[in-house]
Amino acid sequence: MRQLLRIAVDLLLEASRRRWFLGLFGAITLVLLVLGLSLELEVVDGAIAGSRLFGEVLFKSILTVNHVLGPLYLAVAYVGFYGGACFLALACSDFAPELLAPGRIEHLLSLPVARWQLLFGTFLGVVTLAAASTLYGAVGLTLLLGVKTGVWSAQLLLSAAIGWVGFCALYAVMLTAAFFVRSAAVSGSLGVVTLVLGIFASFRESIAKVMEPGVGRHLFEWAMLPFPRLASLATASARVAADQPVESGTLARLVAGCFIFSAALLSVAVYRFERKDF
Amino acid sequence: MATTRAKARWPWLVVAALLLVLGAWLMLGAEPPPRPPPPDIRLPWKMSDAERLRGEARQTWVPLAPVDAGERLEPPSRPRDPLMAMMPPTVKRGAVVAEVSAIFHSELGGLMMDCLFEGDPRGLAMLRDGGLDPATKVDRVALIDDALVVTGDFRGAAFERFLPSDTTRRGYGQRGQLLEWHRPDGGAQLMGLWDSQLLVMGDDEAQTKALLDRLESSGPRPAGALSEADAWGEVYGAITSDAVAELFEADNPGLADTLRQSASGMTLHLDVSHDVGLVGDVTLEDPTKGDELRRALGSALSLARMEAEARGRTREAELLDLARVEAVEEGAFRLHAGLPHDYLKASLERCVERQRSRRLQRERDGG
Repeated sequence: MRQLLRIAVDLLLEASRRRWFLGLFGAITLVLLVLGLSLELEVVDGAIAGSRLFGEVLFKSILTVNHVLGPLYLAVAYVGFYGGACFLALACSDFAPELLAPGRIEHLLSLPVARWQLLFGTFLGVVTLAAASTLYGAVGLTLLLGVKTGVWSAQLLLSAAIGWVGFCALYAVMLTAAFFVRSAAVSGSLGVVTLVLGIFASFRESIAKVMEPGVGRHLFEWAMLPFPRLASLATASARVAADQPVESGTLARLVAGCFIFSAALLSVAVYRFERKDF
Repeated sequence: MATTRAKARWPWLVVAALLLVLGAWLMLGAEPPPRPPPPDIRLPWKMSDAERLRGEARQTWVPLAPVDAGERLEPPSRPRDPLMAMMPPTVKRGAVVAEVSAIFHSELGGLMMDCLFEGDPRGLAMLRDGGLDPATKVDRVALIDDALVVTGDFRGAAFERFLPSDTTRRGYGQRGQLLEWHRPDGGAQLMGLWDSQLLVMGDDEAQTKALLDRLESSGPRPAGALSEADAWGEVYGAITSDAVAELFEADNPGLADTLRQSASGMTLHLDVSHDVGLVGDVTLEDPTKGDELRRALGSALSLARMEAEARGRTREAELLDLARVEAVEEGAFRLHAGLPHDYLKASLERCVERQRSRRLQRERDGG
């Protein structure tokens, strides 16, 4: 376990040295600053009496803060989930190919570290980095809206945590892909493709209904079964953010499904890594 | 050595396959429940074609033209709805008309009737026997300040059955009649009947007569507080800012003050054909204070919603959530709110049940 954590910490240190952290957190800070400076909310007794974004009136009606924040958090959670997943999939795509770079991998394998520890440590490092950036963005936005409206809600943090679970599944695919093809582009693309397949998997039954009955439809239904239900997870994340009811049993199954999918893909990666010669 | 390494590797694939199967089983059908759609409230934004035709059919009374020495001074005016022709130009509190017949014949009309009469079915039977069945003989009920005006078909109605035995009937104006009886305190009470289609009961004799006089007066007259153009929705009217302010006086005196200072009045329209949708246009005395009033009203709604939520009255909070304050134009803004059909139905069913229990209790007490 200690070895695993050491590798994760090493990855974070390397990301920090490469000013990777600076770029990621700088981008999130910039978004928060732009939003903070351009969003004007005038709150009177718990109602938003005036609202402007980039000088344009947002709501003509006077609405309760909760009424506005609900849809706003909902939208932010959706954008955060899909936008964040795509952004992180591309931004983190070169960690695994870098790990396997000639010279470096030989050095790592010469250390007293098992191959599976190297692999799981890399996964842990990247998802920790993703968790830190997600948390930073969610806390920043919660503070921003809290200060502007006077209504404090921690729902966005919980929603961000659900979004992070979705990214774990994507990164498991990306990391595994790197052991088959050492390419950041392929790794990143497969992350995005998995996101799309995760959306298809969420609407598996609805899509299957519009397909012609036959082998193709059955194949689709079976092929989509193991993929994490990422659209359902995004919806659950958005509902949690907007303080709408979410069935906890369903949410637990979706989250557990994502982790199990990640573990399955990492097992395939270990299988590949163990038999690979460098 | 190579065989040993192969044995060490394949379990990872088995684990992967097992995990994929487990994950697939776990996620099968694990989708959040569909989001319930917001209640579809029908709001009366404008007069419908059916309401326009209904209004035209009611325009049967041609006000008398002024005559001097047998000569008609003006061409005959266009036919008017008698109820609208009766409306005074200004009101102290307001004038509100309820389309009783339309309400009783709406989806929830039966439940409304039961809610009103289930507790006292003999009252309904008496009204029917006297030719005043509310479901078939009454068309509209209007409140003009303190006067009650009922329109409908009162031909053959035996009013004397409901009035004291000393009631007298005498003619008044062209088509009017006055029914008069003595109150227990010694004073006289008056009720006007016009053309067997309008029943007028003012706060006093002068008010009853003034309303009948206005209906039959000749010559030019200022527009009434309500006109045929306002007759849309199942309930409509014009209320003064004082009357609106009184609604908020106890809970929010600041808002009541702002209303008195800034608003001149409010016209409202309610659609109760399926659910209840309210649209109210607030006209402003001082347009510069319009925004202040609009914000104050929005805040009041917001506070009421938060209070309802804090006290666990979630249904009430959801209803307040449907209320909106919208800016329309300079000098006026619009409020709209709604009561969903299901909520209304459940409330009426509870009312009917309550009335029924009371009736049964009374019957038991009476032997």
